[in-house]
Amino acid sequence: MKKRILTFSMILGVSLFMVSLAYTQENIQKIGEGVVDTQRVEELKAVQARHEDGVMNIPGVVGIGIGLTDDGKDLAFIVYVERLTSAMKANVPDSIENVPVRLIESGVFKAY
Amino acid sequence: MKTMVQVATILLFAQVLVWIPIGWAEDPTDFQPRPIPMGVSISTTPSTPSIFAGTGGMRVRSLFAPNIKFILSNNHVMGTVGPTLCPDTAPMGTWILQPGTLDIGSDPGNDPEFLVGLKFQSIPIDFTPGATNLVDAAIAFTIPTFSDNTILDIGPPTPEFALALPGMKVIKSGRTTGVTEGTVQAINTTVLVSYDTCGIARFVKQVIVTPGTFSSGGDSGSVVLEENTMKPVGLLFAGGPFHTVINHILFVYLSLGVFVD
Repeated sequence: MKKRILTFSMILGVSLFMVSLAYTQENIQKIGEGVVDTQRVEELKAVQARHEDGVMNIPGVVGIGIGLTDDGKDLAFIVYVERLTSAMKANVPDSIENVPVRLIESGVFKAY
Repeated sequence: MKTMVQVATILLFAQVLVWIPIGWAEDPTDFQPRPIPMGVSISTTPSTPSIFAGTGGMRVRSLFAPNIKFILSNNHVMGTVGPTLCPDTAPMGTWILQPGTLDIGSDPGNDPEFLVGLKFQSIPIDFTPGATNLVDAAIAFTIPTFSDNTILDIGPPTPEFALALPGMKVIKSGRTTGVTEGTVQAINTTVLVSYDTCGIARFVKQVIVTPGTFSSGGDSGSVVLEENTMKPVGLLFAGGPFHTVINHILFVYLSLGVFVD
């Protein structure tokens, strides 16, 4: 009996996951049209995963994600820093694997 | 002269007609007639010695029992009780009040006048360094006589969700700043979030929204929707002076086993 419930919930879990994937795919195409190259976003996610810990270990860095460059025409890494000092500008690289890095002052993120 | 008086009268009348609905616009911090809309002030009790308030984001249903309805909000709103008000301190069955104790002005305890739900489940937040938290989310059991599926001044959310991408226009309705519009600045963000005395938690795959006016303290728990389609994008839970941090709504649904009601 326990085994049956387990199998059932596993099947349910897998099918839910597939449904969610289908939704995601659909949305990527709709939003992606002419706005953001979603293929490129996936590539940047892989690059981010390789360098994330290094960047987050720099004191004063509170976040790193994928956004747009200043002109909004290309994708860039956005590094959120507590305070944008000249020392901070020197510590954080200008680009990671040829992807530009944008430094943005964010203060401290607080749950509110 | 006579026509001018007539025109003036008509204008005055029109003005009154326009002003009545504006004057009646609901304040999300007020006591709401039952069933309450979403996007309004809620909290747990007991919150003593403090008083606080967050936002009830939207009504969801269990994926496994569609007749069972929940209010969706943050762990640090519906999963906390006094004196610490840290996430995961509220036991199952903790009373959820509308409005929150901050907007009542004191903690009334388990007063049925304010009851809208009972805390059911919260996703634990890991405060160890390097943790990979995905969501700050909790659900409270509710019934249709207590809460409605429409979001105040926005309407009901759509069953489909939207995947956040940089530049996407978003909207939310929350307890403190009401209905505001913003833009997605970053996705797939790894971010450190301070929970006051409870600790600092690392979150991954978060979405960052600008400008700073998009949200403020007390808007936590609001659901952020894509502006054009009203598709849910994320669950608002944190922010700084210039940014708002939201959980990816898909991870919220999957981790709690819920879906839009």
